[in-house]
Amino acid sequence: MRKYFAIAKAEWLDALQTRGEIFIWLFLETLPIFIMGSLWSTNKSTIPNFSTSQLVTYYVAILITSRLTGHYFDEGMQKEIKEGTLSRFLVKPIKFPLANIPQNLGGKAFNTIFLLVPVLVIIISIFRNQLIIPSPQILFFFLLSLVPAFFIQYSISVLVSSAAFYWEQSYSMVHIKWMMESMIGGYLLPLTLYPNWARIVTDFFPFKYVFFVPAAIFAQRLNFSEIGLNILYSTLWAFVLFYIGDVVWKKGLKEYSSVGG
Amino acid sequence: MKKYLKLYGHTFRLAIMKNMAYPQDFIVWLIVDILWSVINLVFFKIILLSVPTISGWTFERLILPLGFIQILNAFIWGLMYGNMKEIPNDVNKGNLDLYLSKPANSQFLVSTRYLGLNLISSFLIGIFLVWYGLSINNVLSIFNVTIVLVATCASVIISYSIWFMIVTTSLWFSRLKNIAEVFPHSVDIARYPVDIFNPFMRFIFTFIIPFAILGFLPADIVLNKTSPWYIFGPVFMATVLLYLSHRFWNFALRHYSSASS
Repeated sequence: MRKYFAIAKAEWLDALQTRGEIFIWLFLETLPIFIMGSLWSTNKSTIPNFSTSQLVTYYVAILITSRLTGHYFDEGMQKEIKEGTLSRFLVKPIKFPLANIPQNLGGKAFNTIFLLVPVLVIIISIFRNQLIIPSPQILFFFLLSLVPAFFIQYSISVLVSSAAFYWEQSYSMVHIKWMMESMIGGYLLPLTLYPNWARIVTDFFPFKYVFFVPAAIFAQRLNFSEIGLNILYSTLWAFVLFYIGDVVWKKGLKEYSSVGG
Repeated sequence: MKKYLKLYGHTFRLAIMKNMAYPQDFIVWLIVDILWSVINLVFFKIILLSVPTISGWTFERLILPLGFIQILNAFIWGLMYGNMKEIPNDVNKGNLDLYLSKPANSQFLVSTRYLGLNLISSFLIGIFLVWYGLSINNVLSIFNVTIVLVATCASVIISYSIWFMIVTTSLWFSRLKNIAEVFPHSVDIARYPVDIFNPFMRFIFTFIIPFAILGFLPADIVLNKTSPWYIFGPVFMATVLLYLSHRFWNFALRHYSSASS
């Protein structure tokens, strides 16, 4: 366990080294919420199903969810696999790619304190009259829904990384993942705004449990039975994807070869 | 002038050779780019299923400014991004000396090193959207096509100049490696009518950081909502900003101390 803690600490220190960049990320993270908040605020009288407050709160929740559950190692890992430098991780006495989890948590701890909290302060000050403050109960269920979301994101990143074992053009898979998250995950728009047939399509993929479900819980769009059911489905997806990711990665490793000392 | 056209011709030929060396890569990225363009349109279509207009813009009318932004994005991500993101790295590693010592304008050299030709699909889709936007709104005429061409050139120059000035600050803040990310992500603002923002931000986005005039002003002119004389606004702004970017680069270079040996 100590070695994984060391990985998390190293990531924290690495983030600290580039702390100046935080100001730019701060701006870039605030921007989409500001745009979407402004967009829906101007159309407040005509939105069916969603109140303006719920929509603004939804995007704030998307930001929190994305910051707390996101995994970004897939692109880098694909590069390591293609260039053969993955070997340096394989010879270490750590479980790989599981070691990405403590690494991710180390970076997240830094980003939550120095990025997420200031962004939330800015957003709350801009949209203070439109935000719905969740009750402790809702907040608990929201945080609970982030746990399976975190592992779904991790497993999808492992699967995307594994594509590099088999396919030369695998970098495009990272974009496919972003597209899926954006459109059928509810990152860009709440899925309740979609036509019925499109909403049915999203049910067949795990992406909605990463963004839409936690954000809808936070924005108080789901009742307690819907929350329970969605967290259950989300947990099932997390287990299934974790298993598939593990199998695909191990199979991919058998295909992997590299040269050099 | 002839020398610079010849130099750019060389860069262009090299980019074609590089892209054609990996044809499968090229095709896959073309597809990815087309998918992003489709997602962009679907995003607005879904919003407009929920609300009748976005600040008075129906989907048919929105196609035109979205086409402008699509073309602009092809220039931003295809011609500019690769160059802009390398400037902070060059300053950090001292590679900038290489360009300063060459017998050509250093601003030109650092701005034209890389070309991403896979963005050609974005460019073509943008042209199609502009043509379709003009046709569907019954405003397709030689005069309007001229307005479109002038506005597109002005938007590209404005974007380049602002972005280049932002990146030039890396000569002072060399540790901010992500400074090149600020502008292309902020262009997202230009996809929305400026009327969705509050009056203060509307002023900022029109006169200080003129995102409003990149897509929606030309569309306003062509759709007969604004006088054609307003096209001189972007043209004037493009000329001034290009000149300022040049002056600012030369000023910044006087404060540059090399990091190389």
